[in-house]
Amino acid sequence: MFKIALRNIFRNKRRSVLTGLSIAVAVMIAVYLWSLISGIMDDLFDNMIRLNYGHVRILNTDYVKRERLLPLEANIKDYQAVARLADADRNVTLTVGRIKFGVLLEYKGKNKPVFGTGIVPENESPISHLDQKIVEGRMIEMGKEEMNLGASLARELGLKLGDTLTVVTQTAYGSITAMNLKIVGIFSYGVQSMDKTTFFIPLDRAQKLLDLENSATEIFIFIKDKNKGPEVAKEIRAKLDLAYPGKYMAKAWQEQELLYFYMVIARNVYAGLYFLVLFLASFTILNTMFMSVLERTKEIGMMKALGMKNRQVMGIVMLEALLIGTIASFIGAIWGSGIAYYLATRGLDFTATFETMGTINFPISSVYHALFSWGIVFFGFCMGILFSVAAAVPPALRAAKMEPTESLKEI
Amino acid sequence: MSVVKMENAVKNYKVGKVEVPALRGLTLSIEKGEFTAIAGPSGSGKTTLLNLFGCLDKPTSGKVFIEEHDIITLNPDQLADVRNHHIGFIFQSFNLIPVLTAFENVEFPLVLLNELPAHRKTRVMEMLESVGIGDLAGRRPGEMSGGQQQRVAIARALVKHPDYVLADEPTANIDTKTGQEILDLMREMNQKHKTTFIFSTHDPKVMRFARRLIMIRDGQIESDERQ
Repeated sequence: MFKIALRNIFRNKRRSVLTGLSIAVAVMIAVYLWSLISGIMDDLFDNMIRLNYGHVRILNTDYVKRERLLPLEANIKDYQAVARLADADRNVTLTVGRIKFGVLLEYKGKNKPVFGTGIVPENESPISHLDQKIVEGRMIEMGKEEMNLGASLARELGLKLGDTLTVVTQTAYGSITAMNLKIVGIFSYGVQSMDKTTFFIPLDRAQKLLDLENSATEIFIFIKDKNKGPEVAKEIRAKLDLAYPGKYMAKAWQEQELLYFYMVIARNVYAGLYFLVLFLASFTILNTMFMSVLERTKEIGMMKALGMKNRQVMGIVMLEALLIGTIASFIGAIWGSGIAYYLATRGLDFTATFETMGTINFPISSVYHALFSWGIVFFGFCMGILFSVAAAVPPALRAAKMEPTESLKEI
Repeated sequence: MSVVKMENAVKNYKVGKVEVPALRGLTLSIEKGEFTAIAGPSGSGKTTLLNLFGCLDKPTSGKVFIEEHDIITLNPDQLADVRNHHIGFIFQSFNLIPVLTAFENVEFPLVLLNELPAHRKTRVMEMLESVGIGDLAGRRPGEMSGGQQQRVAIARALVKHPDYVLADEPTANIDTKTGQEILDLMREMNQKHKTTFIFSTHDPKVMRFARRLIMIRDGQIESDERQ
């Protein structure tokens, strides 16, 4: 049977090659697209964890309800004492307090709404890698009225290293406040939401500016295994409820609705795309196998006359599709892995596009890197085979239903 | 002893909304070792008769017995088994599998019977030798003449030692001289292996060659003579 199936493939070489080619191209697209999207998603989640959420985040319960407004009055008082509660957990590796606030940045007549973040600079390095992202100057230091500014923002407002600008905002109590801050460093994350709309100042200066003595608006907690986020968050919540009933809460990154929303959308969109590409390609197999079966009506009739059973006839047709599908999927997987490897090492630079797109409020990098994994390649290969074989079912059923009398129909 | 027989077999075909009778209550028995020609003009019912004898189709009414099995009671898989074990086929246009060599074509029915490869090889080579094309075993149908292809088809029909061989106008697509050789070969096989042959034809020369000649007209037996 194998011999017949294999030789049937070579019967109409051009048709087999074209069919194989469409399967190969579909598998190639599926593999590199998945690698690329996985890479982008991993990068996005990594950025979200490092810059927006931490593994677990402690917040004031009121703050959670109005987070978009950055309500400074819903803060965490004596945040170090609260952080110590979390520190006691054996899974926790690091806790840092932050203050996130909105300001209207004004310089030489230009103004722009941006986000300021008060940080403890020496604690930031393992989290946001700010030290590595400084492209000019140095990191801010505690106790000094200075700032690190996003590169795109600096460019937009015409600011440069050494410039001093006045930040005007409201305190936690609603009164107007201002501070002169000197730009000592410019950072570039390659993430537009950071580079275009964010600056960092020392936490103690933020506390002073906003009248938040010894307070923070959020505490980022980092743990050993990020997958254990919900468990650790639960433990910390229990401790918080005991010490500060109803006041603070802890949320794991997996529990962030926005993040989860992105994940679900991304997964669904991609899964849809992935299967659509394979589905379209499988039509060529369907078409080819139908043509091949119809051309062989007499021959199939003869084989059935000689005693071949319906399932054996089906088997031959499916085997042909399996052979084409396997060879084509293998080639496609190799091509796809080549492109994925290239995209993983070189990346796709969309900086220019992002620059013109205005503000994007989630931390997606401007340079896309694919995630190269043999798992993705192997899955693509298997899916290619699966779709090829599945597409051969209707023609195989057609072949099985052919009447053996066809072979005698010429008297 | 009959190898295959039909009793009062009726076969109607539906053409659009009209029922067209192809066989009108035919009763016929073929004995072991017979060399039988079924002759008649186009549309007389030869093919229908062969289809029923070949277990390729079932009668509308009446019975067809093969080895005492009434084929009307068998499902498609069982019919395939009967064809596989008991019946050899020779077709007008040879109907060899084009992607297989002569050897592999003859081997095909034995593969369906799950015979062991070593056993298959001996049987196939013996059969190819006996039809006189042992040296063409490695050729594909496209590389052989019509006569040679029909020899392969005969070898394929006989290799499993069937109870009877159905040949559908076996000489129609080859020239007269080769046709004569094919008939001689069939006759030789009939005598050598005691294989029953039933073949359809409308060639008077072929009819004369048969030991038993059954003439059919309008789905009924017109004459049945042993020569």
